[in-house]
Amino acid sequence: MLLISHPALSWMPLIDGKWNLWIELCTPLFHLGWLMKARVTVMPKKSVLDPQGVAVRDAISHHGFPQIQSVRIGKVMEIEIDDAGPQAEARLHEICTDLLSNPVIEDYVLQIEG
Amino acid sequence: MKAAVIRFPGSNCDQDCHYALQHVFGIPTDYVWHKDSSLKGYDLVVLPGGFSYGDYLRCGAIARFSPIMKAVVDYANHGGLLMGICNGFQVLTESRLLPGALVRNRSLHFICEHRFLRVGATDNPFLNLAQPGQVLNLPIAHGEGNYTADQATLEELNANRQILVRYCDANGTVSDAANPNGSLNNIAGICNAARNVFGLMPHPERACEARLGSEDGNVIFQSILNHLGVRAVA
Repeated sequence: MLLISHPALSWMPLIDGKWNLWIELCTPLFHLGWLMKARVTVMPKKSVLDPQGVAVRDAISHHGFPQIQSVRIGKVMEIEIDDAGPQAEARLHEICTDLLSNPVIEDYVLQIEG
Repeated sequence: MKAAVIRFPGSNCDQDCHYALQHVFGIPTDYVWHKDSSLKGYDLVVLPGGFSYGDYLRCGAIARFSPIMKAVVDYANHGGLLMGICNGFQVLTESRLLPGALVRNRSLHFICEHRFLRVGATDNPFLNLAQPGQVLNLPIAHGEGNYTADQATLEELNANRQILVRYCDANGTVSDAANPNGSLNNIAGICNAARNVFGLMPHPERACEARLGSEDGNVIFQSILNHLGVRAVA
């Protein structure tokens, strides 16, 4: 992280610490197509009981919104990779199936941004 | 006979497994680090409980890709005896060495207490010295021990007698009231079709001496020794 501590860059605002600064520096690279951004959403399958979702639904209901029918909770992963070649998307799908989701109990959606 | 206890970053029941194997049963036991690559010469491999990789992403999801797992899968595919306890069971389902998956307890609570288990099939290396229907008292300690699988898998598990232990009450009755975590059909432990891989959520290594509150875990270790034709030295 030499860039961040370089005196020549000391004029740059540090927003929420050094990570947002790094993103600011990488954004121009993204626009050049060198960086690929992907968003993976993993949700439990409908057939799997989601007790966390049930607990949150009840909490929302008690919070003054009794019309709430159901809540299901999953996870979102934001991924950046520096190889935007034609294999990247297929490779990401493999990673989604092998690692980021468990196909026995979860479904995933992969969105490539840009 | 030699046993191996695999250590992943975050495993914390490795020492208890080693103690039960080496000190209670006199089996020479090695710790094998997750970055090692060989399981040559071992007759039993144990994946211990704990929180490998902090349970990040899903329990056992990252441990599944540890370097040692290539050797573990190979060892299991060649018929080696493999036992996964708690987080170890989770690693086994994530690596598809066992079917189904372990999800969050339906109560959302981490449950840490002794429970009763009813022995199912005994024609396997892990329970051959037990009686079908025998009740064992073993401790559980987990937040994600709720076994789930689709209908086809469940039918196969039943047809092949792969459900080895189920949660029950003190009398051996399998009921919803006796189910601590919502597991499908009160399933606490299963084996694979080839019967050499056993995964269970309860901890037999924590029920190996009377001072621990139960010695009922010993029937599993004794069965393994019996299967391998070995007499316990200790």
